Amino acid sequence: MSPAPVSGPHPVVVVDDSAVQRRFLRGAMEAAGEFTVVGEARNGREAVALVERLRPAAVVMDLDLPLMGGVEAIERIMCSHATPILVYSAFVAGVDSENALEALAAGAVDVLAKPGPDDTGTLEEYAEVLRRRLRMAVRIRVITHPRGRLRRTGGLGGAPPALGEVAGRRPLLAPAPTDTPAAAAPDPAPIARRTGIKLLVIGASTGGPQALLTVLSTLPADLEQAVLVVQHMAEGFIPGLVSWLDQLIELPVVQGESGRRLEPGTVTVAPSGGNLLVQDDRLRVLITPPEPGQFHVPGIDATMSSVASALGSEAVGVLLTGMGRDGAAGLLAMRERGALTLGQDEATSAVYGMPAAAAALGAVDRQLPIDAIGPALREVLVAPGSPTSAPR
Amino acid sequence: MPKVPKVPTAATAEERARQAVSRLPAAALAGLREAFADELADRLPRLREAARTLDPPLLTDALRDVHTLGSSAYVVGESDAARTARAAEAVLVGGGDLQTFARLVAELDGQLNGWRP
Repeated sequence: MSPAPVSGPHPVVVVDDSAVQRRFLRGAMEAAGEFTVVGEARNGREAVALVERLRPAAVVMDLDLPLMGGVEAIERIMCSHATPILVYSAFVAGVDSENALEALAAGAVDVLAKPGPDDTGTLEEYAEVLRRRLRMAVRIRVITHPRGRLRRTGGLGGAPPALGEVAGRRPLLAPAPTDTPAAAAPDPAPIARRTGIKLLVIGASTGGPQALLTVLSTLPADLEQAVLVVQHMAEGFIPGLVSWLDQLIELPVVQGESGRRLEPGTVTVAPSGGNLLVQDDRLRVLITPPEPGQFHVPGIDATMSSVASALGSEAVGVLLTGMGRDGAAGLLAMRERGALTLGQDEATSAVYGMPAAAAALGAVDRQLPIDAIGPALREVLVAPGSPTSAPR
Repeated sequence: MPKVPKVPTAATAEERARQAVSRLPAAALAGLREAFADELADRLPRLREAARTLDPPLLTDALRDVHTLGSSAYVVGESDAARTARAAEAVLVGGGDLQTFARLVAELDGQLNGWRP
């Protein structure tokens, strides 16, 4: 449950073992009067206790912490006192980007790299970015995350494993169950199988990594269609997402490259820094620079619009959780060209922004809870009688 | 040729810090710099010892120390030191040559030893 709305500055807890960073965060956040730091924690244990006691509007948290690491602290907070958490960590040489993915999967809503010597902007500009991201974070209606609860109680088979627990490719666990009534509600009518589908394209933003894992982990290893994922993500984190998903799902996961074709039975993740466009029905892709002023990169609208033009009804589009409107127009273009389109429902979305915008445009054939999207895709994509056609 | 250690004067360090966080109130800036001085007093001796001995348990702590200094040095305007600390961290994380790590710690020591708030 999210904290009650506040009339004054949003109360924030900062978590970092460096006093320099805690002071910098306090100064940066309080400079504009929108936020006030109500508590500082030096490790994960203190963070969990402070959040429980102070019930802040948001938490800004480093991942590399003594006594209890950031990912575990996030799991515990999201399990007991769900709060929007903005990860604030240094990702040296990209080695910690998988940690960031674990944090997002554990329920953190956003990731921001600490300021560092390779930054091109000033610290003042950085502080503006921090406040803007925090402004978005406090608006997110977070839901209690089941993963920590399952792990704490020794529940079986429900939660995706942390990256460090995975050694190579292995049989899948069931997707994480959500604890909302809507998630358990049966789908009113099955979706008919469609033939001739070449591509499944999925767009996601805030809360996306966990939602992607839930959907993709239901798809069989011998899937005949190509899968394309566009996840809003800061520069440098896509390789971590690719690696993380690749270890947790049966389908191979790769990063998209200009000039390459999307392969059947392979999940291709759009790289950061540009828009991935599907050029033709042979599924060749082109990476183009973002449009001037484009806020979300890679852009979902750009990719889905290109898919609409290239494939028409030979594609399926899915728009998952995320803030803003990106993907709504692209999904509409796909639907107008005859593609089947699905949207994640409000009850299971970390942020019901993009799927809501798509639904409002009339771009969504069917709106479903996250747990129902994978099974629906199997109905549509996997031939009856196939060894892998039975629901997982 | 070995790099000549750079020991910043209080005035230039203060000026760099001011430029780095120009909108912070003077009190906050002073607090930031004092916190960094405390962090140095705590972490630099540990780093020196780890670089001298290359003892694995000490290197575990050293990884956290260079990780922290790489970020906090930048926040107080010490970009060169931040870059050196991050290079040292990358060596440890990537399983690189420990002599390179020791050289980078010596460089970091030269950049930050004597730093005053």
